[in-house]
Amino acid sequence: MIPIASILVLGFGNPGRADDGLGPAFADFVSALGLARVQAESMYQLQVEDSLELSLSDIVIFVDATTDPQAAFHLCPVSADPSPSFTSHEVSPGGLLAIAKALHGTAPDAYLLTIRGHEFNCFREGLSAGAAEDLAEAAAHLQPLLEARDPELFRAAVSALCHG
Amino acid sequence: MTQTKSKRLVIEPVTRVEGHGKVTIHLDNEGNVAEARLHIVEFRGFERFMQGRPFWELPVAVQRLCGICPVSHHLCASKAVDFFVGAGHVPVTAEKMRRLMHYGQTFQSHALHFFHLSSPDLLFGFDADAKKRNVFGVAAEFPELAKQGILMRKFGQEVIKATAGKKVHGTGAIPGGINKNLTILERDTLLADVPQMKVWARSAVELAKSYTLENVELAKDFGTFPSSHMCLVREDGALDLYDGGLRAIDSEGEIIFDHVDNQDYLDYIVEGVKSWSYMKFPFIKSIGPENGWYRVGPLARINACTYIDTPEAEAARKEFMAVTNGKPNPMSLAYHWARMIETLHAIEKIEELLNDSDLQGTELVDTSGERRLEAVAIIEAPRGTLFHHYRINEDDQVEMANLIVSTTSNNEPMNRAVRAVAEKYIGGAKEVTEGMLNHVEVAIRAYDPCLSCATHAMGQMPLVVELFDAAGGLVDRRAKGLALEALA
Repeated sequence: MIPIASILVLGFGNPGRADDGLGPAFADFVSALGLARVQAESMYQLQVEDSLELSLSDIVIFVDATTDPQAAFHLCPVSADPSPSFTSHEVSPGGLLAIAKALHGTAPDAYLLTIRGHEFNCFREGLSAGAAEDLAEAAAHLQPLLEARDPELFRAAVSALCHG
Repeated sequence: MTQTKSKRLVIEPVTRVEGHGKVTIHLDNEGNVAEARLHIVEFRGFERFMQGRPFWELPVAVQRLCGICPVSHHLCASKAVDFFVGAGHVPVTAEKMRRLMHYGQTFQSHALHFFHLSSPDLLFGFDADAKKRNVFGVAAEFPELAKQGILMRKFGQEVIKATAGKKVHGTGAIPGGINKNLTILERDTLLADVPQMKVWARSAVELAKSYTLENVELAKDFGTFPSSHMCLVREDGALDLYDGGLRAIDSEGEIIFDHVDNQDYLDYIVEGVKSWSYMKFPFIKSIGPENGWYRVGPLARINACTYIDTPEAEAARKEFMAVTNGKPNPMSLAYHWARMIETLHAIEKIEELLNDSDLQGTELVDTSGERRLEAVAIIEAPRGTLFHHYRINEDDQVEMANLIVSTTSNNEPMNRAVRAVAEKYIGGAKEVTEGMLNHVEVAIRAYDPCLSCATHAMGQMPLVVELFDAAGGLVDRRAKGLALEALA
């Protein structure tokens, strides 16, 4: 029997800064799929209260834009990181997992999906053509995983999609 | 110990505040503090960005100053823009929806600051191991407290979402009013959580009060100095975070000015500049630049208001004022207690508003009045008094924008707190430790400064201390958590 997991997608970034909006754009794509037990949220930055939603999910996928030009996207595992670098009002994915683990005793399987951005230094809503292509490629690879909701498939996918 | 070289210490950036800042501390030949300054190292530029833009963009655009407390800018700009569309007074439903949004913002912002930015210092001590003295340490050792902080912040964010449409960068307030009322479902969903929020807010007041009273000897000599205080008050002198006239009091509690019309602020406040900082140094015009500086924010508001119009917060205010026999409290560390009294006030006001059927009214916008081409709006943001001043042309384009954010008003007090704490904890020390530097940061953090709003910034804030000799040469350098390394 295939385990059926609940999935939380947290896309973060600033849609007002062109390709920095890739995270929210991916979250919008997932929301539009309307998949059962797959929830997607978009936000400017991760906040401490997001740890609550984390603790209710089996799998969480953080989605952010990247300036790394090597590939259209990467999907890599994320671990809890209780480093004292929490210095501001925003929290890193690893930091959020650490808070969830400390408060609830457990943290979900977590992955960071980074999608290649091409234009960041402008005040504009909407993705560049290159980022839109990379978003589509990431979406094409992730959609079957989201539909299957099988933790093992995510773990297997990482070996092929994590190039960091 | 007699030191042979004067030194300059740099704390950069300051941690657990929003934005980039640094502190420089100059030591003289004897190792005593000769000068200590808080620098804001970036430039905002929003006033320039807005020139030429249509005025109706303002309530949404200015929120981009910050992803943390955008509601204050959203509402302040909306209040100013109301004048441009002939809505000096918005419909009652619109005003109450905006107030609800604002109290939700205050509630979540104060909870975040107290529980997750400042509580590590208060719970573990200013000198505690930096690896533990952070939000993860609080979550590990005080999980219930950490959960309370998270759930209080989440509740405040839900209030904002119900009134502004989104938790961050909402669009609820529009020129002349509001774009929605509160549905019964939204009201009942929020009301269900109010009793628990009140319990936690009460306990947060007790925690902050106990900390202050148990450490009153520390607090009396930790960035404590007399000052003027300024805030908005209602016509009857009550604390009012959304609207009112400006009041300033001196260090003895005597009124300097009162019920000043928002449009006349330039007759009372001047923005001074100093060559070493991007931030301005506002001062009270009638007193002058030397002594006219003032505090804003929770401490100033609790000190300056005549009373609070919600019963539990008013009882807490009376306890707070009793500590200084009714005179203004001069302790920087008392900001935390004052902030929690406001948190209790905010949830009381939220409950009051949620039970008000005006929130289900259907008259949402009124633009029937006379249009103006210049307007000033003032609001009490979580961190203090916020000014938005705009002038537009006949084509509805912004010609001039001027913002005075609360952190700018607190610029001089924070600098004084930095100097006082540096003198006490670093002056004459043989070795500068991370704990000593954190004392300086604790003083800044008490003001909950938003350096992003004061200028413009985001990002990581590692701590670096650099020692310079009298000739300006770099002698030693310390990165936070690392040993001093000799560079000579």
